Amino acid sequence: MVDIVLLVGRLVLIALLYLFLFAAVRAGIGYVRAAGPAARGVRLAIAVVEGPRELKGVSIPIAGPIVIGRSPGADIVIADDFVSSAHARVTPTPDGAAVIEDLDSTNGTVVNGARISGAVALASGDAVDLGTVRLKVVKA
Amino acid sequence: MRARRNTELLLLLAAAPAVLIIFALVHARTAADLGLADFAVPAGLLAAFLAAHIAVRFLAPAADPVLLPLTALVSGLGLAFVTRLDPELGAQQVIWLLVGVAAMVGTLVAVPSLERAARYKYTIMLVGLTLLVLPSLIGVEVNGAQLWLRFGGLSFQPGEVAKVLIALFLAAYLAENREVLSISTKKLLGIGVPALRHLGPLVFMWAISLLVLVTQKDLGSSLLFFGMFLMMIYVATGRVSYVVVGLGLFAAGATVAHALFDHVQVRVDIWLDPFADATGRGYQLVQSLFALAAGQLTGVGVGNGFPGRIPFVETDFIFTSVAEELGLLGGAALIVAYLLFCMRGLATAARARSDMAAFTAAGLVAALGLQTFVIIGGVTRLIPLTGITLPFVSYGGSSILANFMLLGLLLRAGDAATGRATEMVTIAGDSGVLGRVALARRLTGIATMLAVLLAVLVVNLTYIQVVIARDLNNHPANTRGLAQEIRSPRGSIITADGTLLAESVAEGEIYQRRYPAGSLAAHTVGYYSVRYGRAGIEAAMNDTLSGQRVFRTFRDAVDAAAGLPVRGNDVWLTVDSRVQGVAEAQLAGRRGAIVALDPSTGAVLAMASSPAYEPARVEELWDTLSTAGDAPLFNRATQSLYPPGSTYKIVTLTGALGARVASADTTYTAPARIDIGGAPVTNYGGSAYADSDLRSATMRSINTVFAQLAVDLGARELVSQSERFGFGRVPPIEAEARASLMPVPGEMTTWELAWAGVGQPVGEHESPPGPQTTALQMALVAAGIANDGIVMRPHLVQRVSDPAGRVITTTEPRRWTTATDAATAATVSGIMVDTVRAGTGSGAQLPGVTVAGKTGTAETGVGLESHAWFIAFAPAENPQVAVAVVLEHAGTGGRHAAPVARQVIEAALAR
Repeated sequence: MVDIVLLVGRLVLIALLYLFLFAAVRAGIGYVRAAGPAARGVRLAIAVVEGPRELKGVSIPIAGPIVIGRSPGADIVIADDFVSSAHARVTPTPDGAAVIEDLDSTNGTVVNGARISGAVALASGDAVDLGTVRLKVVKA
Repeated sequence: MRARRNTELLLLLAAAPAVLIIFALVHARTAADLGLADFAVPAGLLAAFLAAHIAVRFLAPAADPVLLPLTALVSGLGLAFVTRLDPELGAQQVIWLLVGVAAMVGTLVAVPSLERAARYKYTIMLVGLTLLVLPSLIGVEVNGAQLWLRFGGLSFQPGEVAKVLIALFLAAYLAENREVLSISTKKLLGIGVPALRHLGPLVFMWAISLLVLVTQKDLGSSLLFFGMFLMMIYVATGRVSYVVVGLGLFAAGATVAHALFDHVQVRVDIWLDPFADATGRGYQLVQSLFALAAGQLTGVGVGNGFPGRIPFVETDFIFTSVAEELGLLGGAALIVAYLLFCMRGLATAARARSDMAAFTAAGLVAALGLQTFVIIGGVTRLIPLTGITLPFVSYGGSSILANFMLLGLLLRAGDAATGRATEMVTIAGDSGVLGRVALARRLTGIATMLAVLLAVLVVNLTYIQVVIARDLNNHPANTRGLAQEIRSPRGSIITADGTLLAESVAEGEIYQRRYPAGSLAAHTVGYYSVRYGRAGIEAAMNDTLSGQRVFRTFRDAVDAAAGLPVRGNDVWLTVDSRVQGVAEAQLAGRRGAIVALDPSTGAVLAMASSPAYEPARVEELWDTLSTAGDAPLFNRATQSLYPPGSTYKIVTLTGALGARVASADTTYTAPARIDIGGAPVTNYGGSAYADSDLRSATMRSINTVFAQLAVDLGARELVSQSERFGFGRVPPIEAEARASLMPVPGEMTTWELAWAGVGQPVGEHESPPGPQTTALQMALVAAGIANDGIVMRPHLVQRVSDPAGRVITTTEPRRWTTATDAATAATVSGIMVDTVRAGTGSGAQLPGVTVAGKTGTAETGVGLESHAWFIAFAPAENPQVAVAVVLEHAGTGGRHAAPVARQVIEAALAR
């Protein structure tokens, strides 16, 4: 009889272990989702339309600051001598829009044909040129 | 922030029942009743974690909420198992866990900011290196590795803490130099490398720690450090080429280490084939695999395993113990818990405030994940075993302390985090920005790698515990089964007439085997010893007797799963104690064997071999019994091959009559000596006879007639007739048995064929000379003639019944071979009746019973008495029993063996 109780105890233990792990996974997923783009109303993304082959099809939702530059630490890495190591930064605004600013690059950032200084608001459809690469703001 | 801490509290409370239950299970194994006081340890542990939780509320309110509950669960499980393995170590482990929790809180207090800690990176490195080097200078060597420091009674392994400090240093160094390390300024072997000036400290650090580890023979830690370096460099630079070069360096280093160091070679050899030296160097790993295989899906139950068989089970091999007693499900749950810990740590890294914090978190996670992989992979034979602790679970103060510091740093990194919406702070001015997206991509790479590694662990564990578990459980080197068996009552062995031959009697925790009938049917019953194995029915019917494989009822299956002893089933033999007793009495003081069976069913009525032994005293007398010249442990009835002498003439005669080569009336010359194939064949005692037909030649057993008959029949026919009686095949009986032998026909000379026809093996060639036969086979020859030419399958087991007496299986009589047609059998039978009535077999005559028989006097060499043979069956018109008797070096069959056969036949007919 005791052994049957122990067997049941063992099976209950295993069940509890997995229930706990399930709860832990759920809690973890909850936090990731809360921090994710969908939860924070991200509406825009930045995509590469013209550039080197390795950047074809790259599109990043503007959920947090996106650094564009030649440095390997950048989010969109452009191996182009006309691009500075940290060239420009796109940042989301609380209302779901985005701004771009030039990070004192040597050759400057061009939005819709005009070289920018300071922060400039971006809207869907805007074209951004850095060196030989053209980026476009699209709906996420 | 409040929400996070509330989640943490809820998860801690969710972990509590599991921890309490496992302690209850551990306790229930050692003590009868379960009181509240018995929960003091787990309750205290949970209280410590609740206190830690409250401390985190104040010190790191924004930290990840899953890490602390996961640690509570894993370390609670670990503490329960350490306590189960060794209560004294368990008591020490409690203290270490409390110290560990305090150390975690202390770390949170001492490191309010990782970015500030980065300023002291060279100090941290120095302390880390000192801790690493210290044991080489003033340490003590334990198990071939010098890793320990001793202060008074306390021993400490500083390498564990060094791991955390070196991760901190690396994070700080990489945060400062990641930009320069990312850019290649030179090309080396086609791979771009950064300036040596920046790479230098890294390589130096790397080399020093590896050197120290190699000199300390700590393979596990060096593997761990190496992997941690690689992963951190990848996170900092995003360059896969570093990883590739690093793995190449590792492969080269491993090859060199394998070539240079004996202890590395030994580890690899054991890994490649642990069973090559299963009782020596491979013992630990082999026992670990056996333990895992015993666990299967749901485990053998807490306290039911045999952890004592595995050296260092409480440290390196604790995972084996968990997976043995909680099964694949429990083991996999533990691995998933580690995986989850790693994932939360990497999530912390992804939302960290600064590159320093991100790298620290990633490095610590890499260390913990790899450590888990290295040790679990080692004990499950996925990779060569390297001694290292399982984080939070293994017994060991330094390991516990270091891992709680690690947890403290992860919580700190999580608390200071700013989330992914904010740009990351770079701690040193000359490094460029590190984008969140870029970092997330690299962390995803690390997460994928760790997930794959841990998933492979689960796959491998499934392979061992489910796919090959059966093979491992039945492995010859696996004695767990015997150790387990003596905890359960074994079934009885009973003769057909109800005499108890073997039974199991409880003696405390275990069961002793008793043999109430002493040496009666000793070779049939066999013996049962944990040390020397099993023989006879004890071996052949082991699964039935131990009741392990076949569950009679659902209840049995539940009991077995619960680890409750399952009573084995009883085996009822076909052997009759009265016939057996007579046979043994006839053999007393002689060497030889007797087999009596029922020709119509193949049921063995008696099987005796002399000298015999007492099954109950086999363990005690093993050395004498196993080395004695007269081989008492040997079952002569089924294992001894003898020349059959003239009893084999029945085979020759059956072959000749069946093939229509001759009839009973065919006449041959019968001189005392005849030359065949250039050499002589002689009659026994040099007697010469007038021309004889086959009937009278059989009655008087004339060799020269049968020599001519064998040559007329031919080698091919003689051999195939023998095979039709069963020669060349092991009889399918529940005993150790050998096949009776005939040569390959093509190798037989004419002279040899002539002698074979009279039952004397004289050949010298590659195939064995023949005929050579067992008493059982000759009894089957007699039985085949008795049963109209059909040889029934010989068997010893009549039925199997469960402890309640219900019959589970009954042996159905089945044909084994067809020796000849019914008409030939009838003719041969008539000739055998004449042989007893008026020929050499008169010694077997029984009043009122027609006995059919044939004598044999097998010559065994110059100066030695012949083996006396007799085969017979009776009553000839309705055969009830067939017998074969062989008495070693006793003289003529007619004089010595025939009267013995008569006694056995009489007993069998009187049943």
